[in-house]
Formats: sequence, C-alpha cells, structure tokens
Amino acid sequence: MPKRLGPLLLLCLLLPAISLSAEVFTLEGLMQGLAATEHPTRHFTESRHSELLAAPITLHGTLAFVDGRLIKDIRQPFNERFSVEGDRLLIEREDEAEPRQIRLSDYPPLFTFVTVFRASLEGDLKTLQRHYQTALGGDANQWQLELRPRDAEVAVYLKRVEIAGTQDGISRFTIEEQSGDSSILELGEAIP
Amino acid sequence: MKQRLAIILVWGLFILGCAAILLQGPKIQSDLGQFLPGDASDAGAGAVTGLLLDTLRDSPASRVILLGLSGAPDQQLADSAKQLASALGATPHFQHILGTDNTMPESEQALLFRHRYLLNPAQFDELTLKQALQQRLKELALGTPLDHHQLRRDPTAVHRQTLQRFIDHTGPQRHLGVWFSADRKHALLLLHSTAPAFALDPQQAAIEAIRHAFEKTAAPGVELLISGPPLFAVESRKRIREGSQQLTLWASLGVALLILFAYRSPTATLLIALPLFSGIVAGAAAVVLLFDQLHGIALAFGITLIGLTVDYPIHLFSHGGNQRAAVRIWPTLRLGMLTSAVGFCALVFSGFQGLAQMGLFAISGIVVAAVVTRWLLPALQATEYQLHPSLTPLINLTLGISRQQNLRWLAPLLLVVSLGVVTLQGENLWETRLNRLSPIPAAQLEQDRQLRARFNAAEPGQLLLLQSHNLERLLQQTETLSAQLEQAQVGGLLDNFDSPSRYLPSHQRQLRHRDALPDSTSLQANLSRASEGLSFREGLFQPFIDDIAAAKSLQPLGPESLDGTLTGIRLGSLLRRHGDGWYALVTLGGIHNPTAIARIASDSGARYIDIPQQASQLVAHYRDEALHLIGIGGLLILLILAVALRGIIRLVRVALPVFTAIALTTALLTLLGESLSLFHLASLLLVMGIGLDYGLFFDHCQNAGGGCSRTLGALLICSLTTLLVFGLLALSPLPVLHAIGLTVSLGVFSTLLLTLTAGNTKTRAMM
Repeated sequence: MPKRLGPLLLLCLLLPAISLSAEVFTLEGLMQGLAATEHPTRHFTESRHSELLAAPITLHGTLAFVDGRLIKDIRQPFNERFSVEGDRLLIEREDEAEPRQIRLSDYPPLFTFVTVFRASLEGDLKTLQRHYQTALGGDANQWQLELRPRDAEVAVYLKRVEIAGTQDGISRFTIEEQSGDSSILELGEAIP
Repeated sequence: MKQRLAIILVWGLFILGCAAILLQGPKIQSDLGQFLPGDASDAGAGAVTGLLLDTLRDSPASRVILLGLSGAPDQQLADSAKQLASALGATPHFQHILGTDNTMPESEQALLFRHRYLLNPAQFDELTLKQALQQRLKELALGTPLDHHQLRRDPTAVHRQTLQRFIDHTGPQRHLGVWFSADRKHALLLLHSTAPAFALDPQQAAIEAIRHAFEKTAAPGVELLISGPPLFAVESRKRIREGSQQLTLWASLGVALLILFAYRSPTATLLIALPLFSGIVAGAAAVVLLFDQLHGIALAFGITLIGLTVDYPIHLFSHGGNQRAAVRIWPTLRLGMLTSAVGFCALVFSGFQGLAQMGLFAISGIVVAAVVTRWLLPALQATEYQLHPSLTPLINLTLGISRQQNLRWLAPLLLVVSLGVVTLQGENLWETRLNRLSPIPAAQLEQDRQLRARFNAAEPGQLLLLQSHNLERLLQQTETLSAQLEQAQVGGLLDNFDSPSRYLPSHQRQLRHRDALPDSTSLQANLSRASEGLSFREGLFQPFIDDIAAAKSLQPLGPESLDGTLTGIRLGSLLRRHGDGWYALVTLGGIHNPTAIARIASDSGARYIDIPQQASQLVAHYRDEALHLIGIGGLLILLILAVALRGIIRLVRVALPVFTAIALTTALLTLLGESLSLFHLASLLLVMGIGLDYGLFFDHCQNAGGGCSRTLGALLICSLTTLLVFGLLALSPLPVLHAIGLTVSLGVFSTLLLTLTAGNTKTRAMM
C-alpha cells in the first residue's frame, strides 16, 4: 500500500510546480501574446545558404503586417514585392509591368508556407497547428518554436521552420529545406 | 411413315450439327466498331471521311473518360478527387489518370529532359547565359523550390519550355492541387482507358471500377458524373440490350397468346414456333461458320428480321397443313423466301461487318425456316388446324375490302402522292446528325457537353488537315503552318490552336537545334564570363557542359519513342498513321476571320475541315451506298417476280402494293417528323419481304380462282402478329428500336390494305 501511495504523493507534490511553470510560459500564452502585439513595419535581412552558392546571398527589405495583410518588400539586391491578403498573393516585379496575382488555395504547398508567417504574426495557433507539428523551447525571454509540416506534399521540400523570439515578439525565421539549403530571415528595427 | 421419320431424323441431325457449332463457344462480339464501316477507302468514301472514321474508331480521344465530382465544398471535392485517383491508379484499367498529381510521369520527364536541346531552340552566348544565371540566382534567393541537379544541368531552363507547352494545352485550372471547373463547383479527373473505346467488356469493367472506387472513397454528399465515348458505348449496349430483352419477352408472349387464341391449339402454337426456332439456330451457326464470331447486335436484329418466318406455317395451316398443302404452297413460299433473301443481300454487301453478319443470319434463317415449313411440319402434323370462328367477322371485313371495286385506284394514287411528299422533303428526309441515333438520352448528351466545356475540351469543330506519305515532310509542313498560325494568333485572327509541332519537331528541326549546340571549349568560356560576379559555386555547371556535349550525339525523337507517354497520347490525337501515309491535324479554336484562316490553310497545302459537316457527309455517303444496294435488290426482286409470275399484270398486282406501301410509309414517317436513318432503310427491307409474301399468297389464291377467305385469314393472323411485335418496338424510348418498330408497323399495315385493294382489279380481270 505505501509503495503504491508513493508515486501518487510525489505527483501531488509536483503538480503545483508544473501548473505554476505552465502559467509562466506555454504555447497558448505565447500565441496570445503575439496576437496582442502591435506589428510595426520592420527592416529585415534574409540570408540564403545553398550548396549551389560559394557565398550566401543576402536580401534586404521591409516586412509589414497591417490589417491582416502581409507585405514583404525586397529592396536589395533587386526590387520585388509580395503581398498576401486572404487567399490572394500579389507579386510585383521590377521587370514586369503587370503584377502577378495568384490564388493561394490553387497551390496548397505555397499556402502552407505562407501560413508560417501569417499565423505566427497573428498568433493564430489553430491554423498553425493544422499545418504543422509544433514544439516550443526556451523561456519567455528567449523562445524557439519549431514547426514541422504535416502535409507530405510540403514535407518533400520543407524540412522544418524555427521561429525565434523574445518578449517583444518574433525576431527570426529560420527555414530549412530538404535539399540542405536554408534561409534565415532576421527582423530588425521598426520603421517609425 | 418411313419418309416422315427420315425427315424428322434429318432435321434433328441438322439442329444437332448447328448446336455443335454454337456449343464450341464462338465469341459473342460486343465491339461496336463492327457497325462502323469496314475500310472506308475501299468503300469509295473521300480521304477525309476515311480519316474521320479512323479517328472515330480508335483515336486516343475515344479512350478518354471524364469524371466530374460536385455537390460538396471545394476542399471535400479536392480530397475525394485525390482519393479516387489513387484508388483508380491501383487498378489495371487506366493508362493515365490526370487531374491530381503533377501529371507527367518521371520516366517521360527524363526522356524529354534528355532530349531538351533537340526539342527546343536554345542560345548559348554570353549575354543569354548571364541573364539566365541571374534569373536562377534570383529564384534561389526567393526560395523558389528548385531541383538542384536539374538546375546544374539546365541553368537556362530550356526544359521548362517543353513542360510549359504541355501544361498550356492540358486541361483546366488547378485549385487545391486538383483540376477544377472555372466555377470551382466541379473537381475534374481525366482518365485514359487501357482498352479501346469500342471494346465494350473491358470498358464496362473500367467504368464499374470507377463507380466502385468512388463509393469507397467519396465524402458524403459528393456526386460523381462520368462521361466520354467509352461510357456511351457501354451505356448504349446496356440500354439496347435491356430494351430489346424486355420487348422480346413481351412480344413473344403476345404472339404466342394471339396464335393460341386464333387456333385454340397449343400444338399448333408450338409448330408455328418451330420454323423460327430452326431459323435462329441455323442463322447463328452460319454466321459463326463464316465469320468465326457472332455479334450480339447482329443476333438481336437478325432474330427481328426472321420473325417474318412465323408467317410461313400460318400459310401452311390455312391451306390444310398437310403434305398436299405443303406441295401446293411451296412455289409461292419459295418465291417469297427468295425475294426476302435478295432484299437482305443489301445488308450483306453494306460494308459494315456487323450488318453483313445480320444479313447472313437473316438469309440462312429464312431459307431454313422455309424448308422446315415445307417438309418437317407436314411430317409432324397429325390434324388440320382451323382458325377459330370468332375471327370470322374480321376475315369477312378483309374480304369485303378486297371486293370493293372503287378502291383499286388507291394504290397508284397513293404511290404518286407519297412519292410527291417524299420528293418535296428533299435532303431534309435524312437524318444526318449522328448523335440523334444514339440510345443515350438527350439530357445525358447535354451533360457530356457541359462536362467537356468544364474541361475546356469541347469537341473540335474546325481543324486543318495535312497529309503526306512521308512523316518527315508532313512534320515540316506542319511546322510552317504552325508558324503562320502563331502570327495569325498574335494578329487576333484566331484565339488558339494545337498542332503536332508543339509536341514533336521534325527531324530536320531537331537536327538544326542539335547542330547549333556550341562545342565544350567555347561554352566553357562563355559560361565563365557569364558567371563573373555571381555567387554560384565554381564548377557548378559542369553537368550542363557535359549534357550539351552528350546532346551532340543524340538521335532525333520520332513518334514511336513517345508511345504510351502523355506527350505521345496528345501527339497521337493530332498525328496519325493512315494506310501507308500519315496525316496531321491542327485544331483551331475561336476563329475570328475564317477567310484569312482558309487562305493560310490553302497556302500551306492544308485542308480546312468542319467536323460536324464531315460527319453528316459520312452518314450521307453510307446512306447513298445503302440506297444503291437496295435499289439493285429491288430491281432483282422485280426480275425474279417477273420470271416466276410469268406476266406483267400479276407482277404489278403483287409488287405495286408493296412498293406503294414502302413509299407511303416513307411519306408518313416524314409527315410524323421522323428523319430517315439506316435503321429505317433496313426496316423497309423487312416490309418489302413481308409485303411480297402477302402479295404472293393473295395472288396465289386468286390465281387459283378460290374465294380466298382462308388465305385472307392467314394474312390477317400474319399481320396481327407482326403489328403486335413491331407496335411494341415502336413504343420503345430507344431511337433505334422506335425507328424499326414504327417503320415496320406502318409498312405492314399499309401493305396489307393495299394488297387487298389491288387484288380486286385482278379478280375481275381473271373472271
């Protein structure tokens, strides 16, 4: 009898501790925090590492998330602008007069990929978890959220995504592809 | 007594012999292709119609099955379509399943990739290379999913041109990873069946596999629509089979009851069935002996044709049913049989293997039925069968008509009027729309049209045709034509076109591409200058240099190397072998300036073809052929009658009512709004056979100077049974059965009446 009671007792002792730490930092809590955060337009630097390249390529530009509209505006070394709103992806290229418009639902893998940015900035855990398996690490000051695609079609080329951040919000997206290539997008200062 | 036994024995042996042939298990054919004309070029049809037929019989397009899933939200439709496609992929019925995964199989991609520098033009100067490398770098920076190996081998993305050409002309838009109609309400799949369209049993298995897989995989509420030539072929067979089986059952029952009522004797009923039964067995055996197979449709319609042999024993009974009666009616019976057989010869020489089988079946059937009536029935029969007295008023009525003197001008008058009506109809008389004869309901044909429209795969309307004995020359001509059409497209003369050149360049062009490839040294030099300042790894594009070197020794691709591939299928519907030559089709869409297109066509030696119009011409050609044969048959019959009846007056008395009845039936059909088809013509042949029997027997009794009431009784029973059977057919919703039923009913009724009125003049002349 005492033998059986032992683990139970231990559990009872530990329970408050577990719930205490859970209150401090959970995925739900993190996402709620992100949902509540203001998203000013920020500078970004994205470096692309590939086995095909002697040195990484670096892109500079701004990333904005306003009223559910995500805009990635590349300024260097070329101009190109991606805007996502709802199901629409608009691509504006410097060498094309007319912007290109794409329905994301026509390209499920692309939709899944865009979800990484949109759902995390929005703090939409449900959507994120529908497309990815999630694993949270670190603490509120220095956290990493690992995402692995659930859809086999996406998993063919996308290995994992790591979103890293602090209490102030997201600071970095790391995208690892099955080919071994990877991209690291670092968010910088906000534009006033 | 001994002789009777011998006859029965001979008959028994004959039936056993036929049974032995049939029991060897001949293949019952269901290939509808046999009801398409044999070799069109032999039959004298134009080259174009010949090609059309060839295409109709087994082009890749004839194996296409279209599926549409609807009735649920788009996500559910997409999921159902994916599951259905993978379930169908596990069956052996389909060569290709398009609409879900990224379509082109790897082996085919590999083949086209290996030959990319032969299939596409490419440039290798420094500037072109630099621009291409910059573009690749940009794609890489943006995280565009790229195949690294492919990029190293094909940095200028020449292979994408091949794929793009293919995708541009393949199917509808993608949505949720699946083909969808423009309104997003129908997820679409396109299947290529392994079996040809007209091989009905494997096609039926394929369609059942689709329904089965759908039931297992579909989300609730999702509805499946199947369409395409294989489905229609299978459905047609099913409908005709079910329709005729039911009708046969009811008609047999009705005829048996009618005869039972008329003679009040089960034995008589059985005896009347005996010649027909023997005829069917013999007809089937004859077809198997000569053709080594038996077509299901030939069997069904053949039985309809020799249904007229039920009349033979009725005539025998009306003359006493014994040996003496048989001897007395034999010359008349024989003549009737001979004229019918000559009429059915038109079928044998029709050029359709299926119709030829039907004709042979009918001819052997009626000959055997006549012989059985002449020898076996008297040998079997013990007593005489009399018509039941309750039929006397009807017989008296016919007798009354035959004595009406003022009706004798009816036949000539009706002949003139009917011919007038028919002549006035002119070309409108004939049904030229192929699908009007289809047993498929109009609603379903409309559904097919709509589904095709959702696939952006409307039936081709206009196309250009190029022909040559030399494939290479043909492909070169097609390239010249395509270049002109491209300009026309840019100039807004037409919306789009598809041409074999899109999928397979001529050898000449492939070799020109090959010869323009640079040598390794200069390519290497251009490449290193082009990649200066770009961050690609040193030596990254060595596989590219190697591939170009390897491409220099590649042989051009021909159509045979694309067999079984998706490209090959597309090519196969546009580039086909015919006889000892080849032809190329260029399909045109949205023509805004027909005159300009026609000029481009004639400049490049192409023929401008309107498919619906050609199809009508094809039908018209075979109709003319049939009319020709029937005309010869009719003349032969008249000749035989003239010789047998030994006199022009008797000839007129026998033949005039029948030919008038045929003219009258044709006129009535057109007045009823029917357009005539080959099936109406075949039915008129049957009317001629039956009508001549009536005329001959009536003539026989009048010539003998009798009162003719027994002959008229027999004619009455004969026509009542015929009207019963074909009246039932006329009620069928299937166009083909309806056409036959209506034609024969009208024909037999008018023949009977006209024969009676014509008899009158002659009786007086005889007296």
